[in-house]
Amino acid sequence: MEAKATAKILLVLTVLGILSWLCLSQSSKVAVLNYSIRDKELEKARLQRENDELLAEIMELASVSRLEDMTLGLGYVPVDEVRYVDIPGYIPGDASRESVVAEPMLGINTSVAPENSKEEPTGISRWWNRVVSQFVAWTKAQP
Amino acid sequence: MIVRGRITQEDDNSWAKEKAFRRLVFLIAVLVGVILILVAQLFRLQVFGGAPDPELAMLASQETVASRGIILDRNGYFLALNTYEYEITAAPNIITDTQYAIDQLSPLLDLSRDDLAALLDPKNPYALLKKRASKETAEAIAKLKLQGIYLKPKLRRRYPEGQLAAHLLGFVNFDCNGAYGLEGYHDSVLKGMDIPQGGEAYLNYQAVPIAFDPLALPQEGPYLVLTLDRNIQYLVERELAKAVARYQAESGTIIVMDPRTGAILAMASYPSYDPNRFYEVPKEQFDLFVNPAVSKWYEPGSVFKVVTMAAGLETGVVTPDSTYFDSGTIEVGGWTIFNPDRKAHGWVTMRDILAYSLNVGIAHVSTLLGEERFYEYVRRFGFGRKTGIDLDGEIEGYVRMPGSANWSRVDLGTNSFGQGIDVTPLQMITAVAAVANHGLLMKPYVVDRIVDGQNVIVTQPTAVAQVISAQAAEQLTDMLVDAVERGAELAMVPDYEIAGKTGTAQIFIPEEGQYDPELTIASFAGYAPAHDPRFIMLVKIDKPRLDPWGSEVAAPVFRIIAERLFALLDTPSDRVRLASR
Repeated sequence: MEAKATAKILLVLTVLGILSWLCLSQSSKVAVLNYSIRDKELEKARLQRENDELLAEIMELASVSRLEDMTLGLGYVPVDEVRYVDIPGYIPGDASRESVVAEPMLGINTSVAPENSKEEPTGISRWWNRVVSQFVAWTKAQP
Repeated sequence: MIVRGRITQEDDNSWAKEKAFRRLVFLIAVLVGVILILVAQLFRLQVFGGAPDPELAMLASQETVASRGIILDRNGYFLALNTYEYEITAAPNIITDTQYAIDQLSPLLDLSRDDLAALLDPKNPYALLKKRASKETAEAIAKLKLQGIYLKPKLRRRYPEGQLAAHLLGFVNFDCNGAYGLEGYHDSVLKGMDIPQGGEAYLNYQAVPIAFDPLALPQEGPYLVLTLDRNIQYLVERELAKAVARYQAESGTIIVMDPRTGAILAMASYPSYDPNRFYEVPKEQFDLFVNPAVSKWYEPGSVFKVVTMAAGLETGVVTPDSTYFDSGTIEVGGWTIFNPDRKAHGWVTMRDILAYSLNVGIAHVSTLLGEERFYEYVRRFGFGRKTGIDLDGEIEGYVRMPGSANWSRVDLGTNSFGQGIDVTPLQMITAVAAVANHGLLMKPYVVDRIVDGQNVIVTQPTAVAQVISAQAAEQLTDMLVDAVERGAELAMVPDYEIAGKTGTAQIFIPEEGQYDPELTIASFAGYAPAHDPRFIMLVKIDKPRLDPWGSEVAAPVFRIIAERLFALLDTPSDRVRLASR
């Protein structure tokens, strides 16, 4: 009887041990996997921060005040009088009304307008449309 | 035999028990061994094997900050973006070699060894070593791979254009909260969502991410695309600073707007500050943070005659060619009102009243209107209430209305030429823009669109009200063109029709209860091309000491900027533009 009882206890312990091992094993695997995911997310965040730092440097180097200082340093002088020169055949746009550029310079954080958007074309397509329309106007203006 | 047999049975029982005991011990030993192996494996995985790279862990800590949404001008140039500083903390009670840590960190953190030793007292569980360290310092510390030293990135807003549009943008303080301007107004939109500290257990102050949710990642704030044009803004700020210096003025404000939509193309005030170094502004100069274009009022002076004349034309009490005998004075509410030149001008038309900026004539128009109709139009044009622009800190201005305790009938006369009435520069330009826009008052706005991943929210121009008819607006535009040609020649640009009105306002000194006998606010509000306007501009120069007149101080600034705006906004001369129709 004692041997049987002992055997039962051992059996229960063994089963519990196996279950515990399975449980711990799975927990460890999940932890390792999540560590891996988190590491990658942290690495991504770190790279994003580095990217932001570089972008800030670039934009500071390209700021209007710095560009003006550089041009003045190169011997250029500020314009005293500005005149809009009318060119026959040129069709002006309406710069103040044209839709603003939705995407930042340097192409970061690019966004896509909704598919059902019926806004005016922006960026390259807008530029191309203007070039084509100006060319058509120029050909019409030729004698 | 019996004895032997008994002895044998006892021996057998004893042997069986001993055997069972040995088996039990063996099995227990095996189980303990297995448990030890499991514990060892768990320890290895969670402390050594699965632990993140120490350098990476130090640089990123347990929390990752979300990027604040960037701000772009209409052409995609960055006006505000993010960089990072690092908060350096320590858990001194788990630092293995405190002396080594002090030796290494003292020069990097610019802390004396004694101060650092006090902070790193092994009894302390936590110490803040530096609130904001540079990226270079953080990288140097990370390379040391010191146990118990942690680096946490902290967002720092960077404005790559420096002072450009500082009043409009506002800034982000050390607690990562937006203050003033766009940063303040759109703070909740721009803020992203930081990642929560994940994990179920903590070991060595590192979260063990058993329940790590990969979806709980920091969410970047959406970015704002403004109606502002970086180049126009720069031009306006430069010319404003020059004008303030040239006329020895105290300050100034210029706003450029598209009158057809209410989109702000530029908004500048001088003096300004660098939002990258907002913390260097001394407490007594905190007023610099306030945007005078929307948060400070002034008496607009004769520019306000545009509103009075608009009401007169719309109600039909006058026409552009109505005449009036100007005797040099008019009595309203028991007070005598004079012309600025203190002269009588005889028979004058309504056109003359605007061209020569006659106070007596415009007060005559307001008395013809009567207080009820005059103030109805003042309200219609948006005075005494916020325009609703998407900027922090806009005020309503102050209009004393008939019936209120501090209103008297003389206000009907003085208000008609913009004295005794307090407006913001934005209210003033928005009202004149309604005349330029065929009588339709538009709500001014700065954010053209908010871009959040795939979602784009575009601001649609909003019409507030048709304040006067298109016909009255057209008549008034003609009169304002005439006013520029005869009264503000310095605002004229060859080949373009400019409509506008000068203002030379006296400044009320509340402490003395009277107007300043010498100093004025010189202003000019104008739009061009007059009958097809691409822009409207308000130039306001405060307390110019060299010359008090709007026609001499503000009008030339308008011309200089307008010349460049025609090029920047691709606007051909009237001759070419009208011929192409």
